[in-house]
Amino acid sequence: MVKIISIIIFTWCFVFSSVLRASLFPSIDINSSNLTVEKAAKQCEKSLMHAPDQLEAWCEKAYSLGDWEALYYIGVHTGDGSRYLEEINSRIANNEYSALKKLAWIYRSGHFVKKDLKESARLYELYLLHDNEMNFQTVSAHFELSTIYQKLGMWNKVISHTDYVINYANRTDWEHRAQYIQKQAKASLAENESLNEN
Amino acid sequence: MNKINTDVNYKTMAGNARLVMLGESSHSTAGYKYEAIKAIKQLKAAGFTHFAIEMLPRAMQEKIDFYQRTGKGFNVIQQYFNKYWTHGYLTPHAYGELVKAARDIGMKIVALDVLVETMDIMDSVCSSEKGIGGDCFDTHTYRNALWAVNLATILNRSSQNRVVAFMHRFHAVLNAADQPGVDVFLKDHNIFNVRFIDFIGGLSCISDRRCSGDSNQDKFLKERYFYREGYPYESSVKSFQVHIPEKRVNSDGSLQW
Repeated sequence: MVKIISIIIFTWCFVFSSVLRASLFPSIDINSSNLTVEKAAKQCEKSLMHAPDQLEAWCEKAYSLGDWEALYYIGVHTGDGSRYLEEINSRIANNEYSALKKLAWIYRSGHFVKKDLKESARLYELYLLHDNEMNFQTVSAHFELSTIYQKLGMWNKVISHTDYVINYANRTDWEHRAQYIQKQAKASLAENESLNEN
Repeated sequence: MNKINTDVNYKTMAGNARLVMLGESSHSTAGYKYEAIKAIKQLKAAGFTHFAIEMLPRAMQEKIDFYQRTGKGFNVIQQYFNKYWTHGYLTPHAYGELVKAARDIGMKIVALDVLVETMDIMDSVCSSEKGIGGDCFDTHTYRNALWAVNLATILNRSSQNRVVAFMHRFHAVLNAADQPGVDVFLKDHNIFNVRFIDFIGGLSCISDRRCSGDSNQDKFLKERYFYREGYPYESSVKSFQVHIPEKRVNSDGSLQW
């Protein structure tokens, strides 16, 4: 919360001194030689909401510049995520394990495939097996797993994954949510044990 | 997928929620704004007090309050839509009609978002690389977190307050991985009694002649007006979809369905 308020004040200070020409969908030359992958990727992402008629052009451009995530937005726009799925699968086949996390989220969200929480959990677990560092993506995977296991009612797993988030997340919103989920999981576990005893 | 219901009843969908998020699946479809007018009329009658909108910035709140109090100064609001929300034929006008309707029925109008200039600065402060690394929120996510603060403030001010919030669907709920929606951030403020209604279908036009249908439903459903429970993607709150027919909104705002 403190972090959020600090950022609000920080950005607010900037706003009133800004001389930028702002637009929800900036007018940028798609053929400019100065176009960076970052700019093209932002245009691609923004076009989903603000300029659907330009989405394919911008996302193809971003993809050609190296932003393979652009295929996700093409899939959302056209309803056909087959290229994105192919790209993910080919990256997984080439041992690019971060793509496993993307696929896990696809199964969790239901974008382009039938929603399958068990498959999503399996893929997140597989990702963590290959993730040798502790970073934001690791904590994010544990956070996702705790919410998936919560939906599946697998309380012991919820507790172990939320433990990780509570201990290592550098984001207060995740910490708070993990604490809340863990409290619920412990209560459900106690209730189950009490029912079993009876 | 759940069964369709042709008696589109927003009071039923809202239940006893204190916050109903109306999500448009595209900013380009004028029909969603007119459907939102129907929704807020029913929800006002059901006890909702505030109408919050993505498309106006907090920095304009004083001007909005002036319009709310006096009925004067609407031009400033319409000019903002004309400048920044020109996503489709008739859409700036339709946003204006929605704000007018909220005032006419006595809902308190609340601007939700930051200035467009602020978004540009946010983009420059948090690059994709930094966002992916978790060093900062990307602009989209940060705005969602901020809106949750704004909505929670209204709801916590009085137990009598109930809010209808109008925004793009991918602000209301999860967009891409690591881009949580307002639904998730609200939980950080102990706001749980929330429902999400996703507007789908309709016709988006970039001129009076160039239109395309937005419905991804089976052919026999494309021209039908209905709602059903559920949302095909990730949402952490009880959700519904309202499908409007692939029909044109007339230039006077009247509808053909």
